[in-house]
Amino acid sequence: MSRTQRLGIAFSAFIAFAVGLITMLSLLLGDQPELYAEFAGAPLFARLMTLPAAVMARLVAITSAVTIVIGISNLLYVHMGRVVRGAYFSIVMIASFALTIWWYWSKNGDTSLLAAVQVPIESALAALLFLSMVQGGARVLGKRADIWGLLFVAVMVVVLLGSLPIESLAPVRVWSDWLMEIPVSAGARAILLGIALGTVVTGVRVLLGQDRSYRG
Amino acid sequence: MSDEFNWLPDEEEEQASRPQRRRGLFRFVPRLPRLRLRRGGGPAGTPAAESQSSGRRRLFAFIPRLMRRSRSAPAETTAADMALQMGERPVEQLDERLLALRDRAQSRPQQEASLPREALYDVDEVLVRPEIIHRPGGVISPLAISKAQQEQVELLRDMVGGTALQDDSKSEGGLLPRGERLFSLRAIPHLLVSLLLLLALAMPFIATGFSEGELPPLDFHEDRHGATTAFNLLDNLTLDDYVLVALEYGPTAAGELDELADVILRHIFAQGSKAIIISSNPIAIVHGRNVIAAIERSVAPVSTSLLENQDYYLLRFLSGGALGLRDLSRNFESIVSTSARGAPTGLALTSLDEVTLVLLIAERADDIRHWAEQVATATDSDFIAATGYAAQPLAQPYVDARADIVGMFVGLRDAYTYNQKLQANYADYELPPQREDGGGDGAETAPAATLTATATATATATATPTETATPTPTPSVTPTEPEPELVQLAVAPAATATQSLSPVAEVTAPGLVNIRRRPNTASDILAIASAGDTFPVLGENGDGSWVNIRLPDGIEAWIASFLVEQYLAPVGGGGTEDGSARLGNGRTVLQIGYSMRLGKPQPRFYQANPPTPGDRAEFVLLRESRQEEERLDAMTLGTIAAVLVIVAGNVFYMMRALATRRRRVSQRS
Repeated sequence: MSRTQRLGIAFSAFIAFAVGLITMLSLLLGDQPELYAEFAGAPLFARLMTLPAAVMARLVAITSAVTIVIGISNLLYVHMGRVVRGAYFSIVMIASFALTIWWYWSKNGDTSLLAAVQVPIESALAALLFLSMVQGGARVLGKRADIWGLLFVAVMVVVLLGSLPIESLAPVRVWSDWLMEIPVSAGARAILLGIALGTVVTGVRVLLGQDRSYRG
Repeated sequence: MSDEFNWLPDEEEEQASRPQRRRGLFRFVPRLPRLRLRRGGGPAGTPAAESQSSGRRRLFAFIPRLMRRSRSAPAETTAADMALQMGERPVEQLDERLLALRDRAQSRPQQEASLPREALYDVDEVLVRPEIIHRPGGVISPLAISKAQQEQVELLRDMVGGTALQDDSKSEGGLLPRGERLFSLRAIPHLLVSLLLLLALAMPFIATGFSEGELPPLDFHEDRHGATTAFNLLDNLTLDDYVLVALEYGPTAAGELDELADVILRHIFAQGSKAIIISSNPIAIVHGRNVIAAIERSVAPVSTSLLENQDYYLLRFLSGGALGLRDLSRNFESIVSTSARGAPTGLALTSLDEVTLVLLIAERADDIRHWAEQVATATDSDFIAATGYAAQPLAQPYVDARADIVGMFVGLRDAYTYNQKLQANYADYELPPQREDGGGDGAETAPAATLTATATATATATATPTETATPTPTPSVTPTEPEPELVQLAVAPAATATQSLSPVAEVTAPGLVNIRRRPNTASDILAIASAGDTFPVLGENGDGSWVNIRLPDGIEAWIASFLVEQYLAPVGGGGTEDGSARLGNGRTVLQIGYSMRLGKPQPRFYQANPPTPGDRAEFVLLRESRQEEERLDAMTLGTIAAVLVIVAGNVFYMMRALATRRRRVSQRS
């Protein structure tokens, strides 16, 4: 690693640290620096913190929008290259892209392609997922015929039966509600806690220069 | 490539490095760079070094030290390298499979030079166009991998003891690889299960009256997710209330969440409030336009079309994920000033607090979390969430734990209950009379509607209703066809009433048109008009490209001549009463004011004749729920079929497993 590269790494870590510090301080101060008017010297400090934070949030939004353009360009470039190399199914993608653009402009912003093509296709994919999950649910005990497999299938059946709008299944609904409110809720909160802790740890590592954000 | 496996240390190295490693809980504490700042820059003990212990010198001394540290420990520059180092285990602790894998990796010949461990050492392969190896596969696009990927696959196969990859690209010329058949007998159970589920799902749509179970209740359960509170908040909206509607779902969830969006948007429109539609998903913004269009189609027989930037606002999408939402809460005024098409919206909202409600319809629980953390915390406005069944288990505990989220709607069932409750609230209202032009696209049929009104107002038998009620084909685009009839119909009744005639200009262009202070497009916009609005004509400019008109408040203004149709109309008998303008649907011309923003006067619009609650009850009363009921029936039947398939399948497989086990036991015995 050359000296210039190391200096670049140190510089990027410094930028990340400074931006993160300003953003966190602005979060602590809130969006209304005038609320701190009663403290001597606080309004200037608050303004110094909140304004750069707002500008940085805007910069991130603009940069993200530009990355979408880059992504689309890259997608087209890759598929054009695939077409040149003989992968002719990529022509469908390029043609669909061109058709959508042409349709939108020529039909004065008409978005019927989205309603007539994209929504049905993605809904059909979601339905296929449902079929696949039922298939998998039916084969659980074929792969693992033990107490845990039985417990899994029993819980799945109870929750599904509890979701049915049939009055005679009201007792099952009690169990289903308990399962959703206690174990599932506990698991969900655990996942949320894990996400929060992971976010904090990753953020601290990035700010300290020990790690890089996945954004580069 | 073999260097990648050298991090598994030899035993001697492990013994040598063991005393330096941290143990116990401290092993997981990341090693922070220790900044040992020496006092002074010279040798210790000299008076000059002791006196130079200033902060600036320390700072400058820190940078080269940091460079030396990074040079001496290059392996700790990335998280992956640190994880590799922290994950080392003694060789004797490895199990047999890993030991075999290690031996096999070390026994491989050193074919390649060690790769330089640069920070982005694998970028070169991405940038250089890889050599593609084609492998004809099935119907889908043939598999194409690079040469480097191919070598990695071969290495992995070699290490784990697999057979070498056979090149069957020249074996057959068919669509399927050799040995693969289009259909297998093993697929029969899958096919049967799929057919059963498809039949159960499709039955409510095929056979009328086929339903199982009960429909959702007509009212929300007490305090369930705060749904009743959320409904009441929406029902208490008044005129000029703004509702920020966030559509955070894509086409996958549209089948479930479109119903919720539809019924809530109808409620907002019926209350006379305005929906500001926004999303961090660009597809959702485009889809939001389709939802609005569906609402317009349903009310077209009795109502004029909704107007963008007046009845609703479609804003540009928020890029940047959670940070984009943060940007919304910080730069709200700037974001709401631009529509999805890049045009000014005319909204003069300066902060989120001016929005009465924030309504989020989200596909994922993460979206609810992002909006609650980045937006709900930045405003005092009420926040309502809505999501689908799949996201409910994760979203529910989060919503319950937050006091700033008023309530939550879930899925198609709540959409049905919402609609029933809404229909009950609007039961006392009556539908407005059906439009004589039969609805359709308002911009094209608006001239016909104006003609009808003019003819009936003069109450003469000369105007034939059959002709006037017939929609004329886009007179604004091809004025030569309908123009003679228009003049004749307008003049003939006026002559019988012996009233004076005056020239008027009627807006015929679709959408909204600008009315300006001067006859050029660089001039200030004084008002916005839509199809059907009629203004007294004061004159034209030299080449006839602009028409001088009088606005309802008496101000003279100009409108481009190709946007209007001019004809003579009686003064005082209809059309333009007392020489003033007549608004086509009573609410489309917006008067203008100015507000200072960013140091420049920005146009500020308000409605000349805003609607009142109940005037737009058609948005609620014309909502059909038949398809919703069919979907609910299909959901019920599909769930029943799924339970049957799961139970029957597992019983079958369990019995088969028991039989197999019994057979093996008997064979052993």
